[in-house]
Amino acid sequence: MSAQRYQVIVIGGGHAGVEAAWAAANLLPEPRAVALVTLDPSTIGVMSCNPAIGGLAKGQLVREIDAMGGLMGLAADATGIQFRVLNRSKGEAVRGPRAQCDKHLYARAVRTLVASRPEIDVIAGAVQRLIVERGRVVGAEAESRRTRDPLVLLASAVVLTTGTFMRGLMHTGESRTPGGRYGEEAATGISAALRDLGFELGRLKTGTPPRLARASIRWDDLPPQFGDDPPTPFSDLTPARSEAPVADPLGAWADNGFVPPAFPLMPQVECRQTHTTAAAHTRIRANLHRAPMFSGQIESVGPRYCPSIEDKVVRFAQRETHGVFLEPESLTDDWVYCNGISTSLPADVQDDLVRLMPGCERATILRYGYAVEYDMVRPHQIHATGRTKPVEGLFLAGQINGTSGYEEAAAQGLVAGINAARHALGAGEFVLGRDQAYIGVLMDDLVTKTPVEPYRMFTSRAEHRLLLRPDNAADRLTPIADGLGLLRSTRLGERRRDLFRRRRSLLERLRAAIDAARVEGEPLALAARRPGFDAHALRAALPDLAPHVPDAAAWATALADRRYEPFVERQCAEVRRHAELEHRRLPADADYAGFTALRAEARQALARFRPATFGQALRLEGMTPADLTLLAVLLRTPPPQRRPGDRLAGAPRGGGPDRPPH
Amino acid sequence: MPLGDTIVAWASPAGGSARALVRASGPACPGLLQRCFTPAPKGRGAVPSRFALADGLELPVLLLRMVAPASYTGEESFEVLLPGNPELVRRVLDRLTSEPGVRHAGPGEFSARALLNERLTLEQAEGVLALILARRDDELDAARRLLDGRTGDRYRDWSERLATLLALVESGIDFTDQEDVVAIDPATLRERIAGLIGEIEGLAGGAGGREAGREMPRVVLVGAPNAGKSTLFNALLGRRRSVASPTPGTTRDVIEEPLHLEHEGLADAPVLLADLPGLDAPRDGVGRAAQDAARAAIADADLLVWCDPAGRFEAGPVAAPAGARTIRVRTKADLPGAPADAVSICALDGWNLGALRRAIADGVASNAPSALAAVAPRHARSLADALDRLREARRAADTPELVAVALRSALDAFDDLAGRVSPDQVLGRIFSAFCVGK
Repeated sequence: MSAQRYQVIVIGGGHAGVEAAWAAANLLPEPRAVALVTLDPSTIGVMSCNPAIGGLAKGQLVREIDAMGGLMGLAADATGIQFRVLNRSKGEAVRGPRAQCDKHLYARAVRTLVASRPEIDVIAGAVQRLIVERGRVVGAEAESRRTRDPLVLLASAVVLTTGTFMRGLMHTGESRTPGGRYGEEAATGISAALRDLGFELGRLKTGTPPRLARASIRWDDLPPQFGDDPPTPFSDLTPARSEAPVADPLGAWADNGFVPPAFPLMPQVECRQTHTTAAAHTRIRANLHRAPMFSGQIESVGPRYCPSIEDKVVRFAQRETHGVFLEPESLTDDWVYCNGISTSLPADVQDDLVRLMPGCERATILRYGYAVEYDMVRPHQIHATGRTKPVEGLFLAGQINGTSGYEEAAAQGLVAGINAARHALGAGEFVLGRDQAYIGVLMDDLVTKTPVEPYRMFTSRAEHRLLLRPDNAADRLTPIADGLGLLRSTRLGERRRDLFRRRRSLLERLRAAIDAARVEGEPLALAARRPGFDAHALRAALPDLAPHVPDAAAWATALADRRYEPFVERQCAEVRRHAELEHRRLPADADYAGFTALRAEARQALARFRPATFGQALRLEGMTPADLTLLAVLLRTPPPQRRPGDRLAGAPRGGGPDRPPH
Repeated sequence: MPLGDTIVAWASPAGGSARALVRASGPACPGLLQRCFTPAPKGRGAVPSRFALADGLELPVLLLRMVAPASYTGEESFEVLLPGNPELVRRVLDRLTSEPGVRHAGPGEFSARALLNERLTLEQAEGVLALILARRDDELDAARRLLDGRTGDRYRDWSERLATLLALVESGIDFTDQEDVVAIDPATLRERIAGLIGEIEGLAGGAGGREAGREMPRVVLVGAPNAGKSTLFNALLGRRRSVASPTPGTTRDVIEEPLHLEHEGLADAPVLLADLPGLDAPRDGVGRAAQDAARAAIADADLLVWCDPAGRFEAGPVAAPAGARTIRVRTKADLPGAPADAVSICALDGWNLGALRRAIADGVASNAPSALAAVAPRHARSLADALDRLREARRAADTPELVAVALRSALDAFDDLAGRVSPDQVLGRIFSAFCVGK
């Protein structure tokens, strides 16, 4: 049995795993620097649930991942079959780009991207054990899925992304099947391995709705829902709409360096709307004793924002109907996703539920809905870098940290992949602040809050939401990604840097023009703040410039900057006020239990979470500003010294707190 | 507890005394000394000096300057010994905290800084700790004595209602893809914010509850079209700023200018004078926008000047916001018979304008700090913050992401008074009110 040596090992090929491997490969441009170990390489990039990327707040995450050179936006743009910007009628800050993708093509696009990187070595294996010596991870032991031989993989950094596979258990009615996803077995060894290493595990639940055969639905009789025309892509690399006909679209995309030769690349489809009925609700109520969520068969907690249909029927008993969107999952097969009726009811009840929906009277269920329970590692045991506190060099990302959603998983994968590569290189930690990115909000929430349900991003979680807009993701993050070296090793990276340079000079021209112009005697910069003043009005006010700056994204950003200016200035002042608190580090070895002067609640919170900074400490539940003053006195921490890499020294901070994003 | 700020505090016991002590520490101290004191000592030492108050009054003080690191906190700092009148102390603190980067110190913060800068030993720190704890208890007791239990209930009620309002706004942002979620409409939102503002002003005092120097009191000219508002506006300013013409409806937008008023002995902080379009039925789209702007300005007013050339003052054009007073002015005074409580003026020749200026100054000054500000300045400051943010929210009611930011800040201002409401708790309210989930 020979040992293979890598710089970073990524375990799991879902949305967290591939983003982690991709980011690590960007920082470690050598052949086979990164091992990507997965139970089944043919399931890399699979969309287990809804074949959609983005949405409210999640769309911001995808834009940020893209701005940092990630792959999610590239794959979604290439394979989207319906693009819609949610909240389009509201301001830039709260718009949420979303795409429904062809689920087969999306996974294939991800696999093509991964395969294009000589840095990534894909291994079919079941990891049994992490090799840990004196508190440091040095590798993993796995069983080859091809030969059943034991494999030893060595690396100083390991990223663990188990998704719903860790002791996964699927429920449909009374039947229970071990597994992480329909037809795929669970990962059983890793939970025990983590427990042995001293980790506190928890258990969560999530669910998925039935899938129907489109041919069995009275499709054309149901009201349609169309995508945007023209559609808005996620990636800054995707060109504006063009109509070039493409024979083998995904092949042409790969040949074009993973930039769509036309956008949208795929034919666009529409969804249909239907709804549940009172008769179906009655049937559900009569069968609640057979629903795992109510019979006691499932004890773990599911998300409040994504309740099952049986949950909705119980909690909102007065409603006689719930809306359901029928979303095609692919251009090439017949599968339709029933958005709105996630369920783990028994199959016979699901049959009735579906067939009582208008248009679905004779619908065939291709796959019944199911709930899945899985193990997670309680995230107070990780740092905001994704690195675990008990084990040096071990990083966690995705649902293992108690989150839900492809985008949340990918964002953590990006952070963990960057930090794992930096760990392997002996470089310092990289953390994004809450004022820099939704990714920063996500990581900070994970390490300061006790999860009661799978964590999902909402714009209201971001206190600096006017700074963290989808339109300015590149302004905030591309310079940081460049400073980290993420954009230096590939042609995609080079392309992104070129585009960003161009965007920056366009924006400078636009801003100068806006500041100089007047409309009807009023400075344009002030007129732009009026409700209803849109990008169209801005173009009209600058007729000389409009033909020279075709880039709609630049106009949107220039307008949003002016629109939000007074609020943004105050948010920036707030950020500056708290900067020192955010940067002042807490000692890793503080004995919080011994600080008897602190209130017991504050003491317990500090001892459990062991926050890295005073800023994190203040956000712990149970901490007050007065507690923090006492803590400062008790700790006698020396004045702050920014460690190199703490926030990457010298990295430009984009639209961060040092100044308003101009 | 951001440590980069400069902190100031009333360091002597509260209440009247022969001498009071105000302390300041932090990087802004040298600048404060330059701007507020004549003379300002160049180096370490004590000098008799004069402190310039906002209204031009100069207060004789004794000033002690300490230069970093040779001070209690290890930072640039100074102490001011001044006459022990609580009102004077309050105004000195107001003046100092009106400077950027200067704020009121938290409990024990001077000592915390001393410790962080290694100016205190651990043993001393333990002594300080005891002191801080004692002070917190003191404060709690004092608050309990000064405010009966019902005040706390009111804080919690306001915080609760704010959180609900925020949840309604957030649901219209984060859950618009949900069939069941109906966003709160701007008119209802504005109304409910206005209700909260009125109640909080009732306790905190109207404009007086506002932190000094943060926002000028707003004085708004209202009345029917062609009531002579623009002519009066120009006359008060002493220059032609608004276009005045005999054609009704000449003014199509809200025009605001700072106006300086003289008033014996009282603060002569400038007021913001606003000229509005006349209020009548809108004739077209532009007219409607102008009417909306006018109504928003009235909702934000601290003082209304109601102009009516006929002096009849029938049926107020729009209800004045809670806490705002109204001065009735009979413009174009060439007919007899004005009511006794109205001021008659003729803007064209300036007749009686002086009386109106005094009435405006009195009207603004009567929005003096409330009893709460005197007994619990920390509470008053939090409420004033909340009020500022609520007024901002009312102005931004049509833009959900802006009103959400303003409401979130207003809710944050209640952290210390009613306990923190986290973003997750706001989301919880949404989930319990709406059927969310696709």
